[in-house]
Amino acid sequence: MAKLYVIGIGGTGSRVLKSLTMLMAAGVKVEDEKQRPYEIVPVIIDPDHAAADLTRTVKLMEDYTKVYNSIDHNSSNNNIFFGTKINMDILSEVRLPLENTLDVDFKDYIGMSYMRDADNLPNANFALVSTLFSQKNLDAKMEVGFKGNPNIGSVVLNQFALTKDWTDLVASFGQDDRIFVISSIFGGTGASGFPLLLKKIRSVDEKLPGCKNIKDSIIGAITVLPYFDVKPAEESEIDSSTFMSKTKAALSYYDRNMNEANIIYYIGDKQKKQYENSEGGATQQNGAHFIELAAALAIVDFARQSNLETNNGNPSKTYYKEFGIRNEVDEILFDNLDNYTNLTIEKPLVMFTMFCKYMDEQMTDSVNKQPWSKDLKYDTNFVRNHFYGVLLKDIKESYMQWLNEMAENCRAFTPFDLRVKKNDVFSLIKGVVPAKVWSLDSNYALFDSYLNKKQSKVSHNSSKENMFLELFYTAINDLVKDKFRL
Amino acid sequence: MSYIFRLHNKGAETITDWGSSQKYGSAVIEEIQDPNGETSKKEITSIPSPFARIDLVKTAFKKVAEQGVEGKTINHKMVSDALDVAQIFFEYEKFKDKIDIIVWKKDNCINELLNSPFDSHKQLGDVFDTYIKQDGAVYNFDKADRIYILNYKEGPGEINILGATSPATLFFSPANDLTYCKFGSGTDVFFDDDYRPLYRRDEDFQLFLYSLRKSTTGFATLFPEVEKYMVESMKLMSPSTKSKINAMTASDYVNNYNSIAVNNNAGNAIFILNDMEYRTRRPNTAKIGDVSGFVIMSDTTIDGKKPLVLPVDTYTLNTIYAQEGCPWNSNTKVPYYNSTPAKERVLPDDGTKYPYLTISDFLTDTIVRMPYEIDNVNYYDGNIDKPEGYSYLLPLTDTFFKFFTVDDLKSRTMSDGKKMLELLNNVAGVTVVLRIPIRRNYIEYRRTYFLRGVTVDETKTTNNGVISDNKIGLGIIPFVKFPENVDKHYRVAFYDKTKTNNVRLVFMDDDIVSSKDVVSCKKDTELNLCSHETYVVEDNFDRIKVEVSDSVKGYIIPRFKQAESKQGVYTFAVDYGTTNTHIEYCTDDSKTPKMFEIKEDEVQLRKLHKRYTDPDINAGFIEDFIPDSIGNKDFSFPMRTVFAPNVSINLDTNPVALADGRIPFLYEKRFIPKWNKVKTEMKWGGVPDGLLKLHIETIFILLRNKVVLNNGSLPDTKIVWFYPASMTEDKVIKFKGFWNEAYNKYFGPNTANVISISESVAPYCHFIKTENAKQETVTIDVGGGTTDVLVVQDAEPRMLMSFRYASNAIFGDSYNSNPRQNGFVNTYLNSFENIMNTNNLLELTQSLNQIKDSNKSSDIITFLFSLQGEKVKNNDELNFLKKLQKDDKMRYVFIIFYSSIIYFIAKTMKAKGLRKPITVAFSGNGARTLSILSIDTTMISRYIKLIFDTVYGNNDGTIEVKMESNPKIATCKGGIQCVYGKDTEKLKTYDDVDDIKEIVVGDNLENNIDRQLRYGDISEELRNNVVDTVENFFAFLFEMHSDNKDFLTTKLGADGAIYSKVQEFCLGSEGKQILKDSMSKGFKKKLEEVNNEKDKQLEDTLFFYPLVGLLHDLALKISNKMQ
Repeated sequence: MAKLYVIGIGGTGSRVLKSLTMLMAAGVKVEDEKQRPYEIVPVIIDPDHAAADLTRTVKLMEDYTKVYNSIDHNSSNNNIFFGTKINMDILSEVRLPLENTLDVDFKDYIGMSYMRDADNLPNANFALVSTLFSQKNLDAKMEVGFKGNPNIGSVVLNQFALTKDWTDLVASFGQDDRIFVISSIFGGTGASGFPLLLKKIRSVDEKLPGCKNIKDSIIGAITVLPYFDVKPAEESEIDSSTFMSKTKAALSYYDRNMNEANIIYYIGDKQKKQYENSEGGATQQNGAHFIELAAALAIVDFARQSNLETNNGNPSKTYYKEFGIRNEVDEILFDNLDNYTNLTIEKPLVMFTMFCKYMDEQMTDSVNKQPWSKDLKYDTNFVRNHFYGVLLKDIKESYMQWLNEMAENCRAFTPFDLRVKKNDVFSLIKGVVPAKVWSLDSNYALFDSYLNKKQSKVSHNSSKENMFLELFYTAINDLVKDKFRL
Repeated sequence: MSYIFRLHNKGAETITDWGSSQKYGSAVIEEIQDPNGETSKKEITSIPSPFARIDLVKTAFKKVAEQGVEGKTINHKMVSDALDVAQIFFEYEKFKDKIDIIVWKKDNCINELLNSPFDSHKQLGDVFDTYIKQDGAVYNFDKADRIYILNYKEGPGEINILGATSPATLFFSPANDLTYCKFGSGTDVFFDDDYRPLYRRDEDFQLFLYSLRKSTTGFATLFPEVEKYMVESMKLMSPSTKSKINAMTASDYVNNYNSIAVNNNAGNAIFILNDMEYRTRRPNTAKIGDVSGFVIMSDTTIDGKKPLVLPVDTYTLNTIYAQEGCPWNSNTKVPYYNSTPAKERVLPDDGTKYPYLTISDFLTDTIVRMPYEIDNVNYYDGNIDKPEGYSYLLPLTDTFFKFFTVDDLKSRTMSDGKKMLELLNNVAGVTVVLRIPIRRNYIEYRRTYFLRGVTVDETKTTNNGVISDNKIGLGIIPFVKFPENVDKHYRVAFYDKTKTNNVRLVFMDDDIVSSKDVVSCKKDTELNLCSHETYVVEDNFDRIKVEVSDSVKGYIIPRFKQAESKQGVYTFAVDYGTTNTHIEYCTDDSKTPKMFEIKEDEVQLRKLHKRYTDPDINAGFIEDFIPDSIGNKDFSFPMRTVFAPNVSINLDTNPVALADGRIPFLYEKRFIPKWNKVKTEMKWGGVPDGLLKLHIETIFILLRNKVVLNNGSLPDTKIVWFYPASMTEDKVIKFKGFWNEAYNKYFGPNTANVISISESVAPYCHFIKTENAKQETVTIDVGGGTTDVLVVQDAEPRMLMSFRYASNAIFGDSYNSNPRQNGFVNTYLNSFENIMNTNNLLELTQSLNQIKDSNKSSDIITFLFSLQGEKVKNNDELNFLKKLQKDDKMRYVFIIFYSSIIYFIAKTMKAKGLRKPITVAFSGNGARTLSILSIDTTMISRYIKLIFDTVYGNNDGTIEVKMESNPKIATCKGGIQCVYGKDTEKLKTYDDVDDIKEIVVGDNLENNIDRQLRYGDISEELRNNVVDTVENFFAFLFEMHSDNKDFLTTKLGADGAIYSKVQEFCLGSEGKQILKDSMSKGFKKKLEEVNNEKDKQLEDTLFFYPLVGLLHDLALKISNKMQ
């Protein structure tokens, strides 16, 4: 299977990776134009050790992978929840390690004090560094990213190119593998890592094994433009009033200097939510945003692109894409999304949401009572075991939170009415009136009846975990077909 | 229509899902709205490249070109700063003291990083390498091997980078606050908040950049943003600048600009790109002199350049500084002091090496204060606001006088009428205001000198000066500026009572005027004595630099009167007598002789200060020089013939009159300072010739100054001097030499104007002219040393005689005696001293004590004679002449003295066949004692006639005695009258006089009286005969007395009680022995005087030699109570 290396740089990178993971959990497939799946190799470049976004994403992907590994992926299965492989084995950690950035300011990081001539006077490199970097740059501490100073980032992030992980990554790169890079243009880490990364790939050290593949690889990238503000804070290095001027300056730089990617996706939004000002660390945990979901969809889109080509490190053409929906609304529903978008995400999201809501609202009532539970021994023990009790539950929690956050964000993506309404379970999708199903049951009873109906049809040769997801997937699949014509 | 998640409003409107779009190029980026309107002043940092700064500046040029070159955005700042960097490089020569250029060589420096033992360096090297390769084409990194970095040496950090060359935009600056950099070009302070577009910068710089552009092939492709900016800037520039740019050719760049010698290495130029050299302004400092409003208004230059005079205080007048169109920036700091020589100086904030001057170049750090009020009529006082009390040396430097003259200082005014210099007193000290005229207006320098609390070095940092208190006295003789064609002779009196060191004077005109310093009294710094010095200056000067110490100096500026040599002819007659000297003079206007005086408007010595409260300095001027005026109750001629050389005088080293010696005007008045060695009896070889010359010269200086001060003609001045006929010709020739030499020195080469007249002749002229004397006249001039006699009959001089028998024969010490053996001293000295003490005449007592030390009776007696009038508060008890007039006993001495003279004259006349005279006129200072014979002139006439009658043996005719009330002046007056009269013309030369001169041998007075004898011919027998002749005279005298009713006692009032004793003494054996002794002693002395030249002709009669001893001993006898 070809690999798609998704390299998320900085906070935005992590958040888009999370959205991608959510989509994949829901069953969105990352496939080439011939519907051959890619396995996803997540790579995070972020020196921001404690960033909550990063931690959340890595944890999610680890949970995802555990779930993925618990289920069969052969053609006899219908289930496509958790259907795409996330390969977390190539790098020792998901992150490309960035060291020596704790409690170190930039000038020490680059060893400026050792740039001296025989007379112990500052040498030409010292002078050049003093010219290129402001004193503020030089004095900046780097444990929380680059505080909007991507010129520092461009130096510090280069560290990855000198690590074993990078060598391993290059060596692992197959001929058909692709790279997708996620970065925001207005921050520190992403903005600086992106050009650096591309330049390092295209001018990869020719002594490294496998360098040819990566040098001539197909590269897609999304440049996330501002879509949120940060509350002004006197002492913060991050000042969103400069977001726009920074964006424009960086875009100009890209315009002139970036020709390494085969395709570039641009996204940003004029209506922006103001976040608490956080320079990073554990407090930097911004609510999930539709933009990130759209960005994750760019990966899906990129995977499907067939006309991309690179020769001797130079893309023969660079394509550019932007993301559109049917109309401008403050609260986006499925109706507002383009058909094609809905084709990709509506059904998986509806199904996975229903799955999650069932786990949330009904599982306890049905376990040990419903036939599908009793017959297949999905008893109390099962719901308490690691697979369900920890992994699925955690993912469910994350997913629901993800939805909620998107719904509360601005602009809001709020296609679901996620309130607990046991008497009206199927008024789930906003703006969609569920169809009447010819049945005595309704609500979760109807849900259970679908499960009960399917339990016999689920292959009993596989693992309990596999069967569990297969059961639910097939049942929900029928249910949404009947109720929502999906 | 769909909604697209984008920030701009351009491009397809129908994108759905992820749909095809276009690159975000400049048009799209432009469309993105920045809510802050691009005015954010925060430095932009979002370029993800280590070369972000280069890129940002590139973008900034583009933005600014698009938005307009004027503006306040961060982009305008970056462009402005980059242009500042460009301008610093362009003005490299100007700023190179402030900056280093550090060269970053691409390959070397990256390899150095890559090969460094530090991983961090390797990583940085790797990043540089990556970006230079990847972005090379965009930033022209591929065309540039070097980056030149500007380091500001005076900044706060270890290194302080102001900017560097950029292969993308020519130059760029770092994102730091560079406002610590306080220099700039004209009013443009670099890196400040006033963003200055190119078109508002120095035109030369603009032209340079456009020239660079013109000379660079493909400039627009290589630097598209800068190109765009320059095109925009051109639209705003002045038409004249634009036309200059349009006229440029590609080769102008190399022709008009110089390569930059990086860090003074000529082979190390600056290249923005490998084939694009960045050059620098060709230094054209001459232009500064043409355009700057601060150019000094003086013709003097430094190194061929007119220096600028820069303000040290806030200067707001709109004035061009160094470059056209660039006015002075009031924030520019000019140091109070700059140790660099002016020609090596670099203009503050401008950086051009061009001479400039600041306050300490003109004003000294210390001002010298003197506790006396300046004579501001005669000396320039610096326009002090309160002249009373203290005065100051002008605290100006030599540099000031390089640029301005003394006349400038005194009379130049500024455009607003203000004076060049002012001294303003205040509580803390004195503030000096100096205004230096510059092309535009003037620069006012102010420095306050403090009494305390300030050290000298502070001037350099705080501009506060120090006051140094010094006691200094100074006077200039004469106080005139001489015409160019006249020899200059100045004496500058100088008194220095500075405690610590010796103060020196330097005389200046255009240059230093050479001078000689004669120190009469050396200062003892321990005892704080006052130094008495005389500077001899023989050229004009217009100022005096007073060097109080090596570092403390100041100026004195006299307001000299300009002397004009006009036609006025002065004639002086100087009677240089043995005891007293008298001077008369006349001018063209009136040939009437007047006593020499110094009137109030003729003050020869002008003192710097009105009054010296310091007694040493105050007294010094009279002790060492001359009184302010002469001809008053204190000082008047005739005066004692006395001279006071310095104790330390060395006659072999060409001593100078009125420096190495002076006339002690205070002689007989006050104590003469001990460093002056008073000399009397100058005339007859009592002192070395050198002193005599100095004395004569000193007199000449007085005369010369009078002529000069009255605009008389020096070369036409006539000087008449007198010699006794008894003086040998060689001696007269020697004297003549002295007079002529002195004339030559002080008046000019025409020594024909020096006229010598016999002392015998001159009085006659006077008596004939003014006293209505008859033509049958005998004039008798009795001086201190000689008596000169002229016999005129039928208006013709018939006989002339001169003999060394005068006042000193009465009052002196005979041959080899001393005051203890002097009858007059014995009789009177004690009582006079007592009276002086009683009357508290302390100064006179001191003076007398000093004179007593000379051990000369004549000096003591002369002193006693000087005690009259105001000097002794009109106390008649101290009037010596009156005392003598009442002394009946001593009268015998005077009777014998005058009788012997008249007897001798009458005898000689009779022997020569001359008739008895009708007038007998007495002159000479010695003749004062004639009144001792009788206060009744008629009685004296009778007595003289009696002698003539007795000698002639008949009593025919009448004889009238004439005498001036001041008998000394007759010679001088007569001398002048001789010069302008016809009567005695033929008696003016020595030969004329010699023709009628009678040398009566004295061995008999009857016949063959004037044999031509030589000293070798004078035998003992002849001398005995002389003694006999004198005895004959005594016999004659006493017989005449007896025959004429005891004339001496009854008519002349001599004490009859001792008559017989006197007679016995004179005619007895004791007398005879005295006469003999005196004869031989006198003769011996005479031989010594003629150096024992026996061939020498007899000069005067031997008749009086015995009488000298007798008179002396008689007086002693009388004083010893002759009973």
